[in-house]
Amino acid sequence: MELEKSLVSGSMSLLVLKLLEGGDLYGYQMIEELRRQSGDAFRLKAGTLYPLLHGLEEKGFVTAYEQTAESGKTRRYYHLTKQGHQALRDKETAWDAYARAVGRVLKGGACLAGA
Amino acid sequence: MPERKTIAAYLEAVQGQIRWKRARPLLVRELERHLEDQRDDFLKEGKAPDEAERLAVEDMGDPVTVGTELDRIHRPRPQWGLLVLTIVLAAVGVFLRVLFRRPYFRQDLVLMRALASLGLGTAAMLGMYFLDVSRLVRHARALYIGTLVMTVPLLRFVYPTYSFSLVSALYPLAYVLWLYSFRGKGWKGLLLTILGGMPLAAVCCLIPSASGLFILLFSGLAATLYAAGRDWFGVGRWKGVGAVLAVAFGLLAFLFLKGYLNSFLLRVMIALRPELEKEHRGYMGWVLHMFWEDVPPLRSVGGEAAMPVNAGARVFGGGQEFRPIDFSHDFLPASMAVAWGWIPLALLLAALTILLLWMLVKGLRQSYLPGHFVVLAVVLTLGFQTLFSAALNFGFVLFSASLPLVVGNFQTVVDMALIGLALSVFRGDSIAREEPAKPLRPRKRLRIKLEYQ
Repeated sequence: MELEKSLVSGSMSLLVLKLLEGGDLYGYQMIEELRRQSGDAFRLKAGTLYPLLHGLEEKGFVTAYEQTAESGKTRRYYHLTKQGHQALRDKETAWDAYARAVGRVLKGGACLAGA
Repeated sequence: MPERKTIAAYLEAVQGQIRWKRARPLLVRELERHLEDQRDDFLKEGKAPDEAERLAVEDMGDPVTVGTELDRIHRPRPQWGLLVLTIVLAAVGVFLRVLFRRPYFRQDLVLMRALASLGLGTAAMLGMYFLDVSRLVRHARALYIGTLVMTVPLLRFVYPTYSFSLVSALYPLAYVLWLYSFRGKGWKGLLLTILGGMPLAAVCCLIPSASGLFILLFSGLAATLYAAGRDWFGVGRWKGVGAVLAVAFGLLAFLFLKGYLNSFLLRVMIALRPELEKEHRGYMGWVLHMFWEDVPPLRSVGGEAAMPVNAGARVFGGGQEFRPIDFSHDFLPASMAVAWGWIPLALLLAALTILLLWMLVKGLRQSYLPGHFVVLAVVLTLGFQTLFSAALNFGFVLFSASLPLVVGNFQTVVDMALIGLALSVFRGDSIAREEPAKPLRPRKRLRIKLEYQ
């Protein structure tokens, strides 16, 4: 199922931070991993990912370093900082609250049932 | 949209949107690798080379949008506030140097030289400000050796004031660059780092420049401890810190056994209590103490006449005629306090401290580690200069030290260049990246011959 773009873009930084919680990754790996973990639902464009990553780096949520792989190719890996971990916790909490609220409304409205 | 379906054309379109030229190669390199990975995967899926490249490019999205987004994030961060503050402080220095010149110096010449130092200093600062610090770091060892080789002739051919300024300003930086180059090199790296400080210390001893030596030793120790605390050498954080402290205390013990420490402690005692040797080694400190007794918070205009006479009477005895004392150059801050009271001097020292603390805080927030070290070297150097100069001018006369940006024309130029270098780190922060880790290569052995007298 192809998801609506606006649904994905709002939560993208949360997803990227979550991916990095599992370990340092480079951009291409992140896109592949996101696609795999979401069961092909999230097909993030690289053109969206890199500005997003650089923005997170600017905020101090991630740091980047370059490492040369055995193949000889140099990759730029991203690493979640302490500040990034905290941001991830905050975003997860906010997302849970949002998802619960949306869920309640979709199920017919908890407030109406109680009125 | 025009037909841009090759990787090269795509990258060209992206970088066309990025206004900061220095940022372009770094940003484009990352996208290029991504496109190559994507193309290779399409090739593995059985696509034709042209099609694989076209699909990879299409998959990345519109190059103009990508380039514009990257341009928005990666802009130079101008440091106008710190640049202006530095120039203002250097201009205050010009004013003070002209006002408190030696009485027999011609005012027009002093003014011309002081203004020239401000102009040259500003040019040097801006030159360093626009420098790419990553280039400096790339050639760290060459710069260390270059600094050492270039400053050795100072011993013989250069006027001492210039040697003191150059050595005290450049050696801590050269040492920190040397230190930087031994990242992850283990115990051998730590040992070579410390050994690298010795030729620099030896030159300071041969000049001889006590302030240069102590600024190097204190800054070097602080920077090495900082590096060891971040496990820079890869030997373990506490092991590294322990080893650095052990070397520092070992050196102290060695100096003690050699008898150097005793004579140094005697100098410290005389600096603390100059009245014990007021006609010999404590003379300058004693005179300063006498003058400080009469320095009010603020001196009203015309109230200065009696003060030096009173101080002179205390120094030389009431019956003797007052002899003027030369309080110029390194003692310029004390002259200022004598003339205007201690509040103006306190304000000047506070402004310098704020500048340095501001730089330190910004420097330590950098994600770019070489930037950390460069800023640390600059702040430690200027910080110790300020501290030593303040101690000297308040009557703790241990060795000469010039107040940064205030004392000395040549010193001002060198100090401004150092500050420009630190500011260039802040300016380029958004694209500052570390070099990729490279596999170790065999290196030629470097032999350092040390001689102790």
